[in-house]
Amino acid sequence: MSSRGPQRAPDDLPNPFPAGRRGFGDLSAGDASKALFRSDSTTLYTTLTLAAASVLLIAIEANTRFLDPVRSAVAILADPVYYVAETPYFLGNLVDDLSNSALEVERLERRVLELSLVAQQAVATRAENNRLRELLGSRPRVSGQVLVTELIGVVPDPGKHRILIDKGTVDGVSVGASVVDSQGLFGQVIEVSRASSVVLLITDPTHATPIEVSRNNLRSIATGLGRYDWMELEAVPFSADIRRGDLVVSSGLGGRFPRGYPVGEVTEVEKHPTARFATVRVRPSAALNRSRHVLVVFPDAAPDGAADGAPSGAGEAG
Amino acid sequence: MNPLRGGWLVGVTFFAAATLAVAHLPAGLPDWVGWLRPAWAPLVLFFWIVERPHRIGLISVWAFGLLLDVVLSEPLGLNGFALVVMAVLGLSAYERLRMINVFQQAAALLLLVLATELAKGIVVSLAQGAPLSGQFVASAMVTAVLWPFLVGPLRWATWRAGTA
Repeated sequence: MSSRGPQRAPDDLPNPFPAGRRGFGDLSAGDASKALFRSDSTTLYTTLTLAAASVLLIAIEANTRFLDPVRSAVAILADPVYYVAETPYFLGNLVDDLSNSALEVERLERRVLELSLVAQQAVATRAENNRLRELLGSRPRVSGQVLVTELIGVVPDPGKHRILIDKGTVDGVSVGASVVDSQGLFGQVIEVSRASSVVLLITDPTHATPIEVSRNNLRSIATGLGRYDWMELEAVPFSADIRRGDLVVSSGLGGRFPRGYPVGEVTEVEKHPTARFATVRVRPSAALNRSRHVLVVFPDAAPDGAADGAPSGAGEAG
Repeated sequence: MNPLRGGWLVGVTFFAAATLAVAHLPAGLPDWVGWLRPAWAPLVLFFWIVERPHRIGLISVWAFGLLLDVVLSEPLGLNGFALVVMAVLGLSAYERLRMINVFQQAAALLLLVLATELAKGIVVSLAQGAPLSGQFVASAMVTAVLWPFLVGPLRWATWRAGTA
């Protein structure tokens, strides 16, 4: 590109538009080469401006949360992309559902019966638990309300464990809400737009979950490693009473997750003599890469623990 | 340019690129399959740079990058930056890119994708302190390998749509 635009004779351009089929192909080619090369300085300035804008946006976003509304505004345009990308799976499920619906209905009806029995016991147990807690002088625990949501997309980078769900601000979802599936703790909401939200899974490398071992209330933190099949507990001393098969539940410390949701099961405890801490691996209980339906648990509506603990959420929690 | 003169195809291809960039693989495939995902957006951008360079405006490319950032949940401005760098590099040499054969074009595409992805990686590691990973090399190679197979159908679509 040694020659500069305006001086160049039109002849030395290869004509990109074959033989004037549309009549003004030549004209637009002439326009195009002008538009691209008429002023190198315009291109340069545009490039520099856009680069500066990018750098500014990245810097602002790395340090503050000012850009969250911008992101959720763009997300309204971005949702269709996810819906289209999810269509093959959606259709596959639809065919599955249609072909198995009769059997499925029967199986689910049986399951509803079983679970409603459990739910009745749970209501009684919760009422009793709250009575006992009152006797002990501690507040009754309020169980949050839940919202059933469907997965509409997965962030494709294998190093990032994030999913998109189909509920957003219009449904009352807010940043920080916990997400569970039928088997355990799933993750938390980190971005919300109008009709969708991004959920950070507990196995994401940037995620840490405050946990306790349900057998003896030993507290620790489970950090994600970017793998769906295990997480690791941090800073567990050699003397800690933890073994294979222990159930690990959320401890509720940190104020983000409600207490007592299953997080995983200890699969391996390794005490290497040269290491400073024991290596404890936990297999997540939630079906992190299989669940299509997850529940958003709203942060407790009554922050000062109003006494209506038993009735709230009892309808859906079963 | 009048968008009715086949301009919709440009939009459709970019939308398709964004969709393919997020389409997730069936559960159960090993993780490394994910590393081989081609860089669809740079591929489509490269196609339009080669075929209809005057259709590519830097500002719209940047805006598309913004959409891609949200879709891929990456820092806002990152993909816009990378795509604009690629568009400027590509547009400054579009006449040569048109002259060479598809395999040479594939090589040029490989270089462009490598350069922009490296720039992206550097920006991310500066902004977020994440270590620079070499995963993009595999994806850039897959992109270059795909080019000779995709350019034919895309050219045919351009011709059918009469995109000028």
